[in-house]
Amino acid sequence: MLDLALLSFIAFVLVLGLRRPFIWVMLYVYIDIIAPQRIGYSIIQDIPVSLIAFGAAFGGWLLLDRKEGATFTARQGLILALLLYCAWTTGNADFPEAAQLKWEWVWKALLFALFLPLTLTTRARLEGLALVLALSVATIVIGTGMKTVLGGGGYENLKFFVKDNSGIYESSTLATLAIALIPLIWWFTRFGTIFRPNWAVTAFAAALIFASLMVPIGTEARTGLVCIAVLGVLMLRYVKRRLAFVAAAGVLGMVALPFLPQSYYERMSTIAQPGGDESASTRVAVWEWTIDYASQKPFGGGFDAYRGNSFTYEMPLKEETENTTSIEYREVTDEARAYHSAIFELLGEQGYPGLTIWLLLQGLGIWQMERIRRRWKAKTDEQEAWISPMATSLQMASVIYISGALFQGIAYQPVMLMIIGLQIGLDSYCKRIESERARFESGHRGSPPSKRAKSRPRPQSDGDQTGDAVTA
Amino acid sequence: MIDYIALGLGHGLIAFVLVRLFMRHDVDFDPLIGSFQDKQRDNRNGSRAAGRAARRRAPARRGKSRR
Repeated sequence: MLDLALLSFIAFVLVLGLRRPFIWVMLYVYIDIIAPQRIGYSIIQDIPVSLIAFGAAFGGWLLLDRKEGATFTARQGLILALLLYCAWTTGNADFPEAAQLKWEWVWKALLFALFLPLTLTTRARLEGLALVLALSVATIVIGTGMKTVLGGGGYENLKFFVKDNSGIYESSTLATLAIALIPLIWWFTRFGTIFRPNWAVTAFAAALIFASLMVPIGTEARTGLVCIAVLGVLMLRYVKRRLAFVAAAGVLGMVALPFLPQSYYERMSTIAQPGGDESASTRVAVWEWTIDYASQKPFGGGFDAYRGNSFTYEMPLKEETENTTSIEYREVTDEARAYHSAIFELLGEQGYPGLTIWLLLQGLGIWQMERIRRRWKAKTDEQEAWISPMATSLQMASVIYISGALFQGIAYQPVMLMIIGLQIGLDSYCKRIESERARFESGHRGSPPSKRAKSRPRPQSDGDQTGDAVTA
Repeated sequence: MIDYIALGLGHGLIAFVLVRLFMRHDVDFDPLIGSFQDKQRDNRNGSRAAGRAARRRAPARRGKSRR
């Protein structure tokens, strides 16, 4: 039944796309995020829905869609360079089979990020894609938030639609993305044209933001708490009454404290004491190993090169017997410990060239969004007033994602690559407006003599003067 | 049960968005960029028309001045 419902939804969207091929691009976004083929139990698992959606999105754009305004930008060049470089390191990987497995989804995510900006040529497309992206993540967030509120949370206990702990269904990744999308969700309450701003939209957005804030609590993802802190700091830049904001955040935090479970406190306490937790205590050891590894292999060891690492260290193990707590230090040997950081993931897998490309890609995005934010801030006309706030929300998404990615290996996260695609699309769109406006204004200054004549005294013309006026 | 509610709500909203976009003309033609292009076209047409009118007037005036 569930399979049929999901397949009917996909078929319905495929039919809609026959008239507007851009809808197929949004279908791929939905499938890539929610992964309906992994939610269903039977026939949907055997149908390559992701491949069908990608083929429809790319083929539809190539054969049916308008390509006016589609440009290839420097950041797309960086994505292409990263894609080609990853292909090269996969061919020379330390662990070819594992590298091949990761390559199979990374190349699709990078290729889609490369392709996506070519389709984002109008305001409606930018908004539509951002909305489908946010609602796809929201579908997972709503369920997670409800389970947390009803008491079904806990580290590695919270069950998602897909239970394989991969992609966005990994708790820390979901927590990071849920928090990163909060500014974008709020943007829709002020500038949306698909759902026009009204009390219902604001109420839904507020509930969704609450659910997003519940994700780090329900999953007990420490990275989520870091991301909430980063969001709070970033918001200080935009709120009018900063002191009141800080006070309100403090009060809200104090009110929320009694409702948090004990296990949450215990897990969050390991942020400050990483030695007490295996996952946290090996991070530093893995990072040191990666720096050594990169000094030997500066061009990277291909995907999953971490499989070659091994550490032995002492970890405190608590034992509680009635009134006494004893701590015993035991030697623990860890092998093939994952990077737990996008920076070190890139350094180990793609070496210094790959890391440089990735940092440039992210850094340029933050800079571009800042430039757009400043340049379009003063616009008050409805057709342009949305641009600066959207740039702000996409910039905040980038900063929150990078903060979360410092502690997770999510360098090629497809949702983040889509947000990069949105940033590139928005930048290209703004440049198009500026160029069309400049062309119009230069034409306006130069060509129409009938209009110019109104503002300038008409020359006492003979034939030659009239001719000059026309060609001026 | 919660999963079904979340899936239903999410899919319902996404379907609504896609249908709304399906019916909107500005998905493929941006009104703001289009307005600049229209104005430019109007200007160009206006200048062409003015040019043609000027060219038509010019020989007549030259003829008058010779006389």
